[in-house]
Amino acid sequence: MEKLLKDFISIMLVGLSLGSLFGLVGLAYTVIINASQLVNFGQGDFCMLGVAVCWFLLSIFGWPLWMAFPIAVIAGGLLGIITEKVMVTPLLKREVHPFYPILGTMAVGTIVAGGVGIYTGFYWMQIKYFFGTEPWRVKELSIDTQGALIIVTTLMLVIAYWFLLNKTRLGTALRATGFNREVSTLMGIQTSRMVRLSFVISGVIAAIAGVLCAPLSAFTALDGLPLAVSGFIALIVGGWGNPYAAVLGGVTLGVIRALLTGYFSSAHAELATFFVLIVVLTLRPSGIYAGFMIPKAIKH
Amino acid sequence: MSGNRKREVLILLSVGGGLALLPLLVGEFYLYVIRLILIYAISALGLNIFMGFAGQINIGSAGFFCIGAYLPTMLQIKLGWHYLTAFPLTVVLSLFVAWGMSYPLLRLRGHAMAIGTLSFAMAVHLIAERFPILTGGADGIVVPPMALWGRTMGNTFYYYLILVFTVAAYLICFLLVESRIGRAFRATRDDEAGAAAMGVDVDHYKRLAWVVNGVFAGVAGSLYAQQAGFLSPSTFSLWTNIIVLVMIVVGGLGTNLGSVAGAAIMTSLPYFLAAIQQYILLVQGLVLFIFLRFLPYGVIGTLARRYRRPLLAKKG
Amino acid sequence: MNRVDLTLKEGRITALIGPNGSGKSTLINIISGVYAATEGNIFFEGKCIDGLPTHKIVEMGIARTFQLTKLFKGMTVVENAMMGGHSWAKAGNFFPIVLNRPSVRNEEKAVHEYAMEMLKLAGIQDRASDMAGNLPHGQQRLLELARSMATKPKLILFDEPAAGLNPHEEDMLKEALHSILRMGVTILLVEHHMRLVMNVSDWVHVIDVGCKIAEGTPKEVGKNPAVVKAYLGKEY
Repeated sequence: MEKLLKDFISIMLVGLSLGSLFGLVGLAYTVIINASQLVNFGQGDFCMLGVAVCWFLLSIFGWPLWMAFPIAVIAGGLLGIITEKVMVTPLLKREVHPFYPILGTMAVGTIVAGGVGIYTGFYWMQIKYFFGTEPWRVKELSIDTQGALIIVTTLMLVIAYWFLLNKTRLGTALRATGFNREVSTLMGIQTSRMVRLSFVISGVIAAIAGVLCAPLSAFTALDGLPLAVSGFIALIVGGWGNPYAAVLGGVTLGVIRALLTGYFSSAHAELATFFVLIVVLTLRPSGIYAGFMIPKAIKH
Repeated sequence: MSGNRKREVLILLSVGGGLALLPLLVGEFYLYVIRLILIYAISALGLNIFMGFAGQINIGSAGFFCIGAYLPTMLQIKLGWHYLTAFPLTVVLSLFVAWGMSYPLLRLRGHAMAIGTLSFAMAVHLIAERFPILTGGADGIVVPPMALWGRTMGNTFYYYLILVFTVAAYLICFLLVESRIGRAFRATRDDEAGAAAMGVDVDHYKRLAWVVNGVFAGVAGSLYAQQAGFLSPSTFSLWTNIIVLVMIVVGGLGTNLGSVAGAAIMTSLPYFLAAIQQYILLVQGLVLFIFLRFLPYGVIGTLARRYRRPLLAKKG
Repeated sequence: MNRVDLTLKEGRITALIGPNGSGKSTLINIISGVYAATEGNIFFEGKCIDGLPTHKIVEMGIARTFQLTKLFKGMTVVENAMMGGHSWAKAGNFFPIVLNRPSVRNEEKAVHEYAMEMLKLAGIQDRASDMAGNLPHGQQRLLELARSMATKPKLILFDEPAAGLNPHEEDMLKEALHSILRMGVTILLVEHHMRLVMNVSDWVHVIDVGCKIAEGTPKEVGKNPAVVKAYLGKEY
């Protein structure tokens, strides 16, 4: 009985950490969606780029983690700026097929994946546990340090994002831009900068998420796209346009997958993601946590 | 209008005729590449109907391609069916799966539809990889060669088989586009509310375009399996979904000719670039990027705009 | 909308006027199935059409134009007009089309001819092979009219057709409206443009803030104090 409980708890922890990765990717998507109604399908590759840069600095240059990590995060932000400047904004201005901006973000993601792949030979980019592989013992539980770190960081990022959006002027400008771009411009907000900022924030979040999770499940250059899909499913399952719901959606998915992997097989777990998507779309298309933490004034 | 159409039919017939004569003139390597081009052309034509004409988005082409490849193969291996009996069943099954998947997928808003279709392809790939009963597993499976009248068919036979299907696919698309259905597609693309006001049942036409897309991809897949002789799930992995997408963007979204041209260009490109496997992904990304950004109407689309009346969609 | 009661006389032009925001476009959207009414019913030729989807309502014979034109900019002018044939020329289904059957080809010809006739009615037949998006604003609105008429409707709802038209185009609109009446089609004209309405309508309903405030011939309504107040404010 005790063993069952212990197993269950470790599975739940894995699920929470994995889910946090999905949730953070979902959050990153939502940051951009809320500022510009765009979806960045290179999102997963933003994560992968963070991992790649960090791995490169760690393994090839031998830098310590505390130096490599920030650079990786900056790389994520930079990729955000590049995507926005080079691909998204020019495409929005032209009269092309309405899905071109989406395809454009995928093109950027593909280039990043292709480029990293050539360099790494599409091989795994190993990053070591931040605090060593010894689990942290609390009473009779052994808690995986990296997993705990992921969960804590996710909470901090979500709180930081909430703070930014609701307690700073910049956040208000961001929200306004997403809500109604034309009116925001008229009110003096530099909406194009806000959009660019949203891409940067999203890139930063993605890179942090990627690097934190890489020790647990090694990334290859090709892992960006599956992650982008899972993160987006987290977003749909959780609640479109609601950053907190996206994170919860991701966590839910992660837990479901961990449970299935633990008790059945990973094949079942991966199929389950798709299954959950269909179920949510059929029964509650707005998302499981759709109304979560959205002030009543906006909900109608 | 009919002058243009007659011209296009003439081009089609002459190209088809030329291709038919090719086996007499060139070697096996070129025929191999052309077979691949034609197969991808079928898939591209189907995707173009859904994306270029009906204005939707599908990044899960590999899903139906995979189903179309494995189904007749497994029917031949496990049940001893002949390809020519397995093939119609594949078409019917592709149709059903497409029709069924249309209900959850086509309700989605643009971005969600993109991911929904990609997830579908992901699920198909997963099933192919993890359920060996259905597909012979991750190691792959040998496709039994087709036999007719006691003789095993060779590459030249496959060439003509594929050519026939490609010409048929092109003709179907050609006839569809300037018909009532094609107009309904384009109206749905340009303005859904306006289309409804013209009596177009938008959901029905989206579904129809999606089914055409799925069936074409399934047919292409089954032809691919037969001529490749060997199948493995990695051929249909996630990243392969963008292949056909890049083709129609390069060729020109919203033109049938563009789909074929795009297929020709993108299929033969790796062979011109000395087929360095590693570089293919990067090249696809770069090509997609360049065309989206600088040549949004694709090769054929840009030429069409310069030399005769536009064939294409413009965002309204 | 609040208790709006509207009866249209067959074969006539009924106008619906009211200040901005009074709910005129909303009413059109409700009739054409874009919005659902929470209370009340809509009857057309004796049949209740509540809750039907827009495309079915078109098939029953009700067409509408849009205040902001929703033309198909990727198609030519005549192709836009040919869209009208979608609801009454239905031989073009998947298999007949791909088999290139004569019935389909003949039907295409018929649809094309009717489309050209409607373009002539609107006065824009010369622009038939131009891309719809390239037309100047006024002609785009006339194309909206032509293509709605191409659905062979019994009733057509016009949502502010005169907005943004120059005087020449306004005359063409008036001509077109008269031609439409001669064809026996009933018209509901939702307009803001007083002169056109008073000139052309047989009967006028006035709404304000979603409620009906007056009804009568153009002359009667023009003199109605409640109407004047709604439009011009309390100073008058």
